[in-house]
Parts: sequence; C-alpha cells; structure tokens
Amino acid sequence: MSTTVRSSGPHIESRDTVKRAMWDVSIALIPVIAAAGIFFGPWALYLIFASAFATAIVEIPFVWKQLSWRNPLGDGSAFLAGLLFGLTLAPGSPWWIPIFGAVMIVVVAKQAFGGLGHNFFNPALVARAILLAAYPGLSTGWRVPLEYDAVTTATPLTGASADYLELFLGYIPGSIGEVSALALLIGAAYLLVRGILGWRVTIGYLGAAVITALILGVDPLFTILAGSIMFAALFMASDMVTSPVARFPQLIYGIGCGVLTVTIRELTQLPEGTTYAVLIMNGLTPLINATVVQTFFGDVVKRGRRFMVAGAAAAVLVVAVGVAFGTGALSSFAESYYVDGATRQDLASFFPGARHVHRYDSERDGVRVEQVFLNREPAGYLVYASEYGYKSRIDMVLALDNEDRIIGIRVADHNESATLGALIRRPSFLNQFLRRSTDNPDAVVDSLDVISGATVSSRAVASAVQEALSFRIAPAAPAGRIEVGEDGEYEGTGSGYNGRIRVRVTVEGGEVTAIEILSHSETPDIGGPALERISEAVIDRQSLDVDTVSGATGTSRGVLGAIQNALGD
Amino acid sequence: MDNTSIKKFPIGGTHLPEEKELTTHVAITPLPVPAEVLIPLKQHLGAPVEPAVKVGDRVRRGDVLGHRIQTGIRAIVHSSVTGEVLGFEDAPMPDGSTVHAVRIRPDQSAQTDETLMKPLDLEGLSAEDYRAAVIARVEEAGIVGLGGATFPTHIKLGLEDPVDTVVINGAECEPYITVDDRLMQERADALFRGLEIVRRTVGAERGVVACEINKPDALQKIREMAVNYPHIDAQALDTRYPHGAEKHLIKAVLDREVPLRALPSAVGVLVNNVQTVIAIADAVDSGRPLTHRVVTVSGHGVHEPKNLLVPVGATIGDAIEFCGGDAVTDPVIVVGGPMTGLEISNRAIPMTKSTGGIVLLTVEEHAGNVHMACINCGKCVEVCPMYLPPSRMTAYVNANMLEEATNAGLHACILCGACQFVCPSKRPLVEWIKKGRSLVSPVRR
Repeated sequence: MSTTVRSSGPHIESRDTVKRAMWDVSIALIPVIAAAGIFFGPWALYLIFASAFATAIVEIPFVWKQLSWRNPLGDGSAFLAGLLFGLTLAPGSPWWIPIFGAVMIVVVAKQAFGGLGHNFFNPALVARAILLAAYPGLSTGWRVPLEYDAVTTATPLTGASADYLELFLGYIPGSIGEVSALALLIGAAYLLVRGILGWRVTIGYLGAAVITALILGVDPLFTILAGSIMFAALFMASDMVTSPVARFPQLIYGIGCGVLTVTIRELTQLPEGTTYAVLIMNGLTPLINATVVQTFFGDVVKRGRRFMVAGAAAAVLVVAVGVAFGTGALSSFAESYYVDGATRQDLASFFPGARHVHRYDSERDGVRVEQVFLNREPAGYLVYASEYGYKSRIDMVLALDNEDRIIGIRVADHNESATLGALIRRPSFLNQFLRRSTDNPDAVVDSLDVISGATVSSRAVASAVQEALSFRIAPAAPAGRIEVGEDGEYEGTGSGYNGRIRVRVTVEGGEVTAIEILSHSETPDIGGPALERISEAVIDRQSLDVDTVSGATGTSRGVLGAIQNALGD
Repeated sequence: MDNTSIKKFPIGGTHLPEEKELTTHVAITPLPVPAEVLIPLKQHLGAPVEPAVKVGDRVRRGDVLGHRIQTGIRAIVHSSVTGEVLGFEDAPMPDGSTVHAVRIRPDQSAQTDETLMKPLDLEGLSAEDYRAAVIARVEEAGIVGLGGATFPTHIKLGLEDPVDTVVINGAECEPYITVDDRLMQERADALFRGLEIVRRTVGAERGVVACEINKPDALQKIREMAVNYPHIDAQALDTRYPHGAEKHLIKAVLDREVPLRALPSAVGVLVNNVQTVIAIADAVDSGRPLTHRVVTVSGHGVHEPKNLLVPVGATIGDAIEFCGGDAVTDPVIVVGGPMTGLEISNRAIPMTKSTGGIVLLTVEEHAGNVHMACINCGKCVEVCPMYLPPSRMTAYVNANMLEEATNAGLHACILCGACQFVCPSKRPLVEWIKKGRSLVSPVRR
C-alpha cells in the first residue's frame, strides 16, 4: 500500500461533537430542574447544582489537560453526570451527599474504567446504587411538593396517593428529577429535535414497562408515570456510553430495562427498580452488542442469520427476566428472616427513618397491627388487613398516625383482574380512605365510592379498611372499676408481644390486691418493666382502663388481657 | 411508473451540507489549453497501456497515445491536445503514486485540428451486430466509468449476465460537485441518446435516470425529456448520502439488493454515470474519443467556482488558476468530492478521466486531526449504508484483531465515510478501516 491513508476522506465533518451532545442533554434537563425548583424549593436546586459542579471539580485532576480558562468544564460529561445524579436524590438529602456522589461518579464509576467512553456502567447510577447501599435511610426523605418544610412522606410507589394528572405534572413526592413527567417530556422533545435522543431505548423501556405491568396486574399508566421510569428511560438508560450501539440491540436493551424495572418493583422488596434495572442492562450491553449482529447490506445468503438474531434477543431477555425473578426469590427468602412482620418497605415509605416496631396486638380476624417507633417515640401504626375480593384475598397496608388517622394506604397484594379489579391500586380510588380514623370505621363502607365495574373489589378494600380501623374497638379494655367475684386466687392468660402471658390475680375483700406474673416471654428490657407497671396500675386504680406502656403496647395489652381472663371474662 | 415519486434506500445514510449552490447555475466553460499537458498512460482501473508515440512526434487531438494490448483490463488513452510530444515522465497522482505519462506542448494555433473517428451508423443492425459495434467503438474511444471508478466501459458493456434495467447515476451525492447536475441540464439530449444506445447494447427493456431532488433544474430537465422516451423513466431520489453508491442507487431505484462481492448484473442491472453515457453518445454519433471531461472547481477556498470542460492532462493548478485562484490562504485541496476524495498539496498533478471535482476547503470546514474516545453513541452504525458497525470494526483493527474485524465487515465497507462524518468524537474511522484492510494478508482479501 502506498501512503494513501494519510490523505483519505472524508475531509469534512459534522458539527456534532461529544461536548455538544453533553450540553444538549444538560439543556434538555432545564425543564426538569425548573420543575424541581418549583416543587421542592431552593434546597433541591442546591443538591442538583452542587452535584454537577462537585463532579466537574473532582474530575479536574483526571482531565486537566483538556481544560482551559475558557473551557473550564471540558467536554461537559462530568457536569452532566453530576446533574443526573443530583436529580435522583431525595429532596431532603443532606448537604454532603453531592460531594459523596461526585467522588463516586468520577473515581469509582468513570476514571477507574479509563474515563469517558470506557465505563461499562452509568456513572450517575453507580453513585446512586452505592448511596442506596451505604445510606438506605437517605433515599426515603421524600417531601410533599410545594410544602418545603413539611414532614417526609411516602412516594406514590410505596403508598402515598396521587391521581394521573398529579403524576403527570409532578405534584407528587419523589426524587427531585423524577416527579414531573411533563417536564421530562419537554426535555425529551428538545433531544428529539437535536437528534440525540436514543428513542429506541426509550420506546423499548416504556413499552416493556407497560406490558410487564399488565402481565403482573399493575396499573400500566401509573407504572410509567410514578417513580423514576420516565426519568430513567429518557435520561439514564439512553446514556450513549453504556447502552448498545446498533438499532436492534438498543431496542432489546430498552425492553430489558423495562421488564426488569417493573419486575423489581413488583416482585422484590425494593420500592424502585430503575437503578438496578439499568445497571444490570448496562452490564449486559457488551453481550447484546456482540450477539446481535446486523446482517450486512447485500448479505442475502446470510439472511437466515436473522433468526439467530431473534434467538439471541430472546435469550438476553430470558436472562434479564431470570435475574429479576431471581432477585425476587432471594429477597422473599431474606424477608422470612426479617424479625418483624412489617416489611422494611412499608416502614421506609410511611415512616422514614423508623427502625422499630412492636406487635400491637395478637393477630385477630386477619388484622395485624404494628406500632411504629421513631427514635424511641411512638410514631404511628402499620395495620395489615385482608379481605376476600372478587377472586381471592386482597391484602391492604394502612399507615396510621398517632391520632389514629390514615396517612398512607397501599394494596400489598391482590389477584383481581388486571383490567378492572386492578384499578383498586389507583391513587384516585385509594385517596378516599386518607384521613379516615378509628373513630368511625363504618363510615368507610357507608360512604364508599366504588370503581364502576369493580364493585366487589372496591367493597373488599373498604371492608378491609373498616376492619383495620376497628382494631381499637374490638379489644377495647372495659372501662370503670373491675368487677370481681369472691375472694381467692385466679389464673388467666393473655397474648403478649412475643407470646403467652400467664398471671395469678389475688382478690381480697372485693379488691384486686396482688397480681403475679407466672410466665411470659416478653423482651426483658422492654416488656419486663411494662408487666410490672401495668400490674401496679391495675391494683392502684382497681380498673383495667389504664394507660398502656409506651414502647410496650403489645405487652401491656397482653397482661391486661390476662388479668381480664383471670377475672372471668 | 409514478413520475413524481421520491425514492431512497431504506436504512442508513446521512444528510451532508450540499454546497451545490456555488456552481449549480454556472454553465460549463472550456478550460483554455494550457502551455503543457501531462497525460498519464493509465487513467483507468487496471494496468497501464503501452506508449504509441515517440518523443518529437506531432500528435493531434484525438490521436492514440497509448495502445491497448491483448489481455487485461485496459483503456486506450488519447491526446487531448494538438501539439508536440516533449517526452515521457512519471506523473504524480493524487494518491501519492506515480504513473508513466506523456508530456505534450500544445500548439495553441492548431487546437481545432482534431482526429475523429467515423460516426457509427447503427440503423438496421441486428442485435448481435449492434452490440459488437457499440462495444468496439466504446473501447476505441477509451471510455471509462467517469463517476470516479474508471472501470473500462467496454468491459462492463460486454459482461454476459442478462440485464433488464440500465440505471443512470445522476445522484451526485458528494457536496460541492455539480458535474452531472450541469450535464443533465445542458446535455440531456446526448444523455438520453447515450442511454438508448447502452440500453439496446445490453438488451435491457428499461432505462432509468436517477437524480437527487437537491438538483431541481436537472431533475425537471430529465423529467421533461423522459416524456419522449417510452423506455426511459426519470426517477427523483431523496437527498441522502451515499445515494451515488452503485448498490444503494439500485436499492433505492429498483429495491433490489446486490449481493456482497457481486456486480449489479447479478440482479439484472447495469449502472452508468451521466458523463460516461454522454461520452458514449459522442463516440458513436460524432466519432469523438474521450479526451476531455467536466470538472467542478468549487469550495469556499476558491475565488470563482466553475464547472470546467478540461483537456485530460491539464494540471489541477491550471484549473484553480482559471477559477481565480485561492480565496483563502492555505486552502485544503481535495481531488474528488470532500467525502471520498483525496487531499493533495501538489498542484502539478494532472487531471485525468477520473477527476470529477477539485474542492478547495477552508481550514475551518476541513476536518481536524484531534479525536476523542468513542462514546458508543452509535451514530456510525446508524448511518452506515452497509449496515456495518464501524466503531466496533475499527476497535478490532486498532487492537490488531483482524479476524474479528473481517467478520465485522471490514471488506464489506464501501469507504463512503458517512460514519466518520457524523462521528461526534471525530475518530478517523475510514483511515483505520483502510489500515485494517492493508494489514489483512492479500490471500484473505
């Protein structure tokens, strides 16, 4: 060969540059950032921009040769990764999170692999995954939009309620950047105009999410509007570096992301699946790239290879779904070893930061009540109730505050039909139960707005809520002075927090004079003192209407029940 | 056939800056005969021809300078000027090689003195004789594919495969170049005449003239002409690079896919360039051999962009001078189109039958040398008209994994450069693909 190589064309080049692509994506995020500012206030803006600039600054030592005073942000990739990371944060995150994220993005996720273009995993998501693992509590500091100082709440995914319009506009709790589908779509439109939206990934992602949702009996519209699917499909999964290069592989990758996200959401303990779904598919990208090969133009002979391509695509999807179900199985395995019945998920979403629960009362009529403690103070109750619906049991989870009002409600499990029965999961239906209290449980049923076409399912939910709210009434301690019989010693049992409590009650002269705890299996630190205090209080007041011991309600109730039992009730 | 339909190939391709406005309305002007010409004895794909003249000989325009010999792929070379043979020397070529060439000093007063062949009378010939007569005349006239490939046309016409459609490639998808554009506007008669000759020579039922819609005047002209030719259609193509690539033209116009490593005749098609067919018409009807060709001299780096009718052997410098010289300091001179052409620095390189354009790019529009890491954006894959993965292919080449590179399509690449044009990281993909090909042993090729 002669020296033709040096002078070969093309001698012109498009105006597209890496830098332009990065800044275009950043520009497309402006509506999202604006929405974040409106909904969550200045702190959210701090989190976003602190992340972006911190990431750019941390990257300086690695790319200083490419930087100049006129071009301090280089190719803009670090700034963009930081921006994306900031948008995944909970609005109440502490000040240092952006710096933590910046270091993880640059050092662990990007430069360790060799810098821009060489990383396998989306840097912003790697940083987020590390954050989730290291500080799980931080991912749950959700706030109600427009109420900057308001207390934390649950995201729609974990129980809070919202209707479609609220979901679309973004008037819902959630990560800073994910709440407003409208803002995300405006950004996406810009990317589409600029020709850099990986639309095959996005379409594959959203389409697969909808179909998977239908298969699993989840409301598909809710699925893509709530949580971060939209954000991930438009800005995370479609990241060029970590997604496949060719057309068909991009579609497969997007579909994989969608299937995984929804399966992780629905079948595992994790409230949100996008982070892990996209990271898993990032990992599969080289495999998809290598397996799914387009037949060359004119390669008429090898058209049969298209079948191979389809086979490979199916194999990748099977692997992806297998991983999802695998994680699902593993986490249900983990759940069986979880000491409390309350799932971590319910705690995290309804009572962020709360770590302790106590069984409030023994299981009765399918209703289970857990008192929740936050920093050793009672924070409210999780009530689990269940009722037969159209097909089988519908399991409900209610969160009550200390005033016994419903602050959150979620359908934990159901087998109702995917089209109609599943509508009971809609926020617009569940919303009607909010702020109902134990004062009048029957009102729930009396004033129920049923979903047309799903009357049985609707009533079942209402009935479950009614039962759940009745937990105060049924076992209510008899008021007033105890009625005692003849003098003597009486034995009785009651169900405490951990098990049976046996007591011997001594009656002399028409009064209870002594209460002896014969056996119990309560926790010594918590239940022990309660046993003593309740016994003393009953003797003192000659009444079962005594205050339960804070932090040991289950034990308190148990011992009261035992005394009542002994006295012949 | 719907005369107003606009067709395109289905997957890949990209939209380039067109820049045709500079010369699309500039009529073809003859380049004045320069003081000396240097005519290479190999202006075709194949081996050089043997010299037929001696130093000191007086030659006339149209005289044979280089003979064909019996075997091999060759095309006769004629003198483009009337004058005296000064000697033989090695002429520099745009690709850096040299070719044996004849230097002639034209006699400025005798340029109308021209050797012509006898016009062919094809009336009343049998199909067999018609074919033989035309092919012989095309060979004598030294006609090669003037789209740039310079494959000898008599060999192409003589292939045995049955052909049902002759497609004229007027796509001209390279930016700046307006050779076929102007010829379709100015010489549509000769074009249709030539197409009829070719069509009858190869026994095809149908002829199609295909032209991209970014040449509205040319398109209108061929549409008007086609009305009078029952066997010929005008076909508009969307503006998309590389529509001028033979196989993609066929895919767009006829929706037939030429198999890899096969010729268009495998799907019953013959493709000819606009200017080639006009040269055939001239050779048959006027007896004029191919000694001149149209060259577009354009770009923002030249003062007066023009379409020139140049005598083969005039230098690139001659053409640039006639167009007012450089408009900017140190323009980048590209021979051919900006996408597939070759960058040169030596203006003494003679123009040949393959020279379609001379484009003077400004430094600003010229592709730079700095490239970044691949960010897997997939744009190269998106635009590749051969459905190849350029990013992966070149990664293999750079890792010296030639086996994998070959499997990824190293040799299926048509070097159109669309991938490199769109690459946001500005990676020299074509250069790497060429490097990979040169590394693969000739046996494997």
